[in-house]
Order: sequence, then structure tokens, then C-alpha cells
Amino acid sequence: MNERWSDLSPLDPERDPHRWEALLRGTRAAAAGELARRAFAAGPAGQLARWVLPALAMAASLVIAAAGMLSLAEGTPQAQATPGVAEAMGVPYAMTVSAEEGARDAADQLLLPDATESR
Amino acid sequence: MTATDAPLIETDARLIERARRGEGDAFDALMRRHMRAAYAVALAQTGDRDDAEDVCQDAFVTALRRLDEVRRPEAFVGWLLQIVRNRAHNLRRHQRVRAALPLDAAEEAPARARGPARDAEDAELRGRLLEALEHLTPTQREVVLLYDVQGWTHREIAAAVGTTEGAARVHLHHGRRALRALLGPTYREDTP
Repeated sequence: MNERWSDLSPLDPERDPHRWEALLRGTRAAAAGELARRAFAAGPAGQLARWVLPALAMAASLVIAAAGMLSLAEGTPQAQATPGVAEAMGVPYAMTVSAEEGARDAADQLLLPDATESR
Repeated sequence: MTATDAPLIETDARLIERARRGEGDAFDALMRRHMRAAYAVALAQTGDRDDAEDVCQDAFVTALRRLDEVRRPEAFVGWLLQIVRNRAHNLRRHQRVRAALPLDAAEEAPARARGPARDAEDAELRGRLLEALEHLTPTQREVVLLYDVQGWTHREIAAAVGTTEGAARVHLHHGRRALRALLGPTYREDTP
């Protein structure tokens, strides 16, 4: 019996170089997809995508939050706030109420009685 | 050639860093550097050349996918060999069908280059060795193959297998003794 087997060399994979190279080629081929994915992710397009996607997600969440706040604001009674501001500016309450009701001649009605009284 | 005295143009850490960026030549270098060890462990776990090759291929692709998990590049080979063990375990458990890659085409090529007589002789010897190795524990098989086929030192084996140098020596001693008992006096037991 040949004694080469005594040192386990028949189990050496490179004893069959063609088969060994085929294993290496096959492994490389199997890894090609993952390598391509990694190369893309490391490239400019991948870097851009890395920033754009979170930015878009952030923008979308901001839009949703803003829309929610607006819808809440629409539910608050405007009339209560407006006279307060108008009063702070020195406008008489009766005028602001009249103007908000859309009466075009509200100011005239408010002023004319004073004019007639002065005559 | 051992894992440490090979002419390291680039460290594993550098190759891992480049492979993470998808550089194929870095992956190739890692693969060529560690494939023999991976094969030895896969063969120890599966006991079959075809299965060992499938496990190696699968393990390297898995390692590439999980390359971002490598925290200690200096321990890359140990991490890789654990993947090999896991894949071998899965293969045995599920008896998955071997992927048909260029390996099939390679089956016929060596016969022309080396001659059918030597191939037949190798096949017979390989069969006897693999049969004998089946009687060893998985760790003993790994240590014997890494030492006797891969040519690693006890320190390298200990790091890769996750044991001490002393324990690696013990595994080698018991493994070789079992092989000698199984294969007869022609099994030469070199002193480590």
C-alpha cells in the first residue's frame, strides 16, 4: 500500500488543482451579487440614497405633523381670539364684531349717529 | 504554509474593510487566504468532499453578507470557521441538495491531467481516511485536519477552534492515536 495516505495528503484540497480552482471560482461567482450590492452602497449613488431616504422620511413626517396641527387649529374658535387682538390695538369691540359679520356699512352706522348728533 | 507566516501583503483588517465596500479583489484575497482552513473544518464536519465544498462556498457568501458584524478583524478566521461549522450543521440536518456550480464541470478535467490510476488510488485512500475520521470527535477531526493537512500551528488551531494550545495538542494526540488504531501501522504519527 502506498504510504502517502499516512500523512493525510489525499485530503489536501489543492491536490486536485482544477477542482480547487473551480471551488474558488464558484465561491466568487456566488458572492458576486453581494459584492455588487456593497459596491453600489459604497458608491455616490448609494451614499446619496443613504441621505435622501431618511431626509424624505423626515420631510414626510414633518408634513404629517404640520397637517395634524393645522387641523387642530381649525377647530379652535377664531372669534374669541380676534376681538382680543383688536382690542389690544385699540379698536372698539363693537367695530370688530360688526366688521367680522361682514356688514359693509358697519363703520358708517357706527360713525353717522355721532355726526348727526354733532349737527 | 501557515496562517501567520504567509506573505501578508494586506492584513485581514484591511481586506475586510475593502470587501465591505464591495471590492472583489479584496474578497478574493480573503477567500484564497482562508479557504483551506474553511475546507479542513468543513471536511471534518461533513466527512464528504462535495459537501465540504458546498459548505465552504455557502460559508464565504454568508460571511460576506455579515461582514459588517466583524468587530475584531484579527479574529476573522475564527469567526469564519464558526460560520463554516454552522453551515455544515445545517447541511447535515436538512440534507440540502448540493448547488450545481462549476464544480461539476471540474470533475472530469483532473483525470486527464493526473491520470486515472492516480485518481483511483487517491479516491481509495481518501475514502479510507474519511471513514477513519468518522470515528473521531468533530473537534479531533478539525484539529487533525488543520494540523496535518493545513499545516497550522497549535496556537493557530487553538485560536480558530476556540480552545487552548494544550487542549489542541491533546485533541491531536487522541485523534492521531485513534487514526493509527483504525488505519494500522502505516499511519505515520509525526511528533508535533
